[in-house]
Amino acid sequence: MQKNQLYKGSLSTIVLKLLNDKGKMYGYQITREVEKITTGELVITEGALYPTLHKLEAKGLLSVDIKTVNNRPRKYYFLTENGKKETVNMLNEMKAFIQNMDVLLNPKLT
Amino acid sequence: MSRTITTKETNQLFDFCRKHYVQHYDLQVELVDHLASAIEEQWQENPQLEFETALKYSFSKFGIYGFSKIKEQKQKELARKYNRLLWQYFMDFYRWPKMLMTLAITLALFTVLKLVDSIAWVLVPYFAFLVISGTIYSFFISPKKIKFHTLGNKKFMLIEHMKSLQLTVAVISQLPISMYNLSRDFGIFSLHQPWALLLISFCIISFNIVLWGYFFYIPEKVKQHFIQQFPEFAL
Repeated sequence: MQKNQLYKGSLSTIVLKLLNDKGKMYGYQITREVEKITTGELVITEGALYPTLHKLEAKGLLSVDIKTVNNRPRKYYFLTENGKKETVNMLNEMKAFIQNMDVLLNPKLT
Repeated sequence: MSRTITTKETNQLFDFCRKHYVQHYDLQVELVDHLASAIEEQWQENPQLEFETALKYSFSKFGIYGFSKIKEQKQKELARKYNRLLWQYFMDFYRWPKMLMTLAITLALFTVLKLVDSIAWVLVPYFAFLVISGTIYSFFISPKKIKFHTLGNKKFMLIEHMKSLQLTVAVISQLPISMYNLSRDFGIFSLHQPWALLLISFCIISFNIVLWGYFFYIPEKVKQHFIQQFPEFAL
């Protein structure tokens, strides 16, 4: 549960990073990929993923494109120019956060 | 080649969304594809699995709230998106270089307010103008602003949002009626101090920018976003 909370707080960053690496992706594909990269530690619930996608879309970080696949419409998400810039910012913030946590958890005794 | 969802089953999934209170096509599209992909993945392991059983399992992954949380959140995000756009549009009038024009008009209005005996001579016709133009907009211009095919009576969250915005505009355009009474009761009509006149000029110009944004800018943006996503439904 605790572990899930930690991951959930970073869901936006995880989604942006995924789209940055893979280009266009659809909802179900993102769910599966997130599960894969967090080695099943985070089973991302659909109830959490879609609100995150819709929030990022409303902020103008993601754009959508609808294509027909297997006789049904499929909504693909991809990063906008703003989204690409924001991904870099969020990843830098995340790295700084991890470094700070590392210092906090492993204090060097002098 | 593993089993895939048929057109008939896709339609069943759209029905399933409607039964779970998702009436908007723009959200249904996404949920149907999600359920269908989840079902197809189960078929890869067990091709004999019944469609209904697979659907039940896939839906259970949406948790106890099902689709309702997603729907609520999407509506909120949509409102936030257009509020943000309107705010940016408004602020643009107070940024360089547009700011020059806004300030010039504000000062022109301020000068007129200073010249007249009572500012009621300007404000009352202005209130009347707002009510009339608001009514003309709500009844004649707004219904023509966006025309869409209604294929199979599909409802779109984006369009519903647009309709509710237009209702807001209709209400806003009627505000001057109460503003007239308020102005009279608070003695605004007898104000002569330059700072008060400047403030009134600023408020009137800002109010007009917001109104213009609601009338023309936001509907244009909604239309643009809609056509981008669903070109097949736009005229």
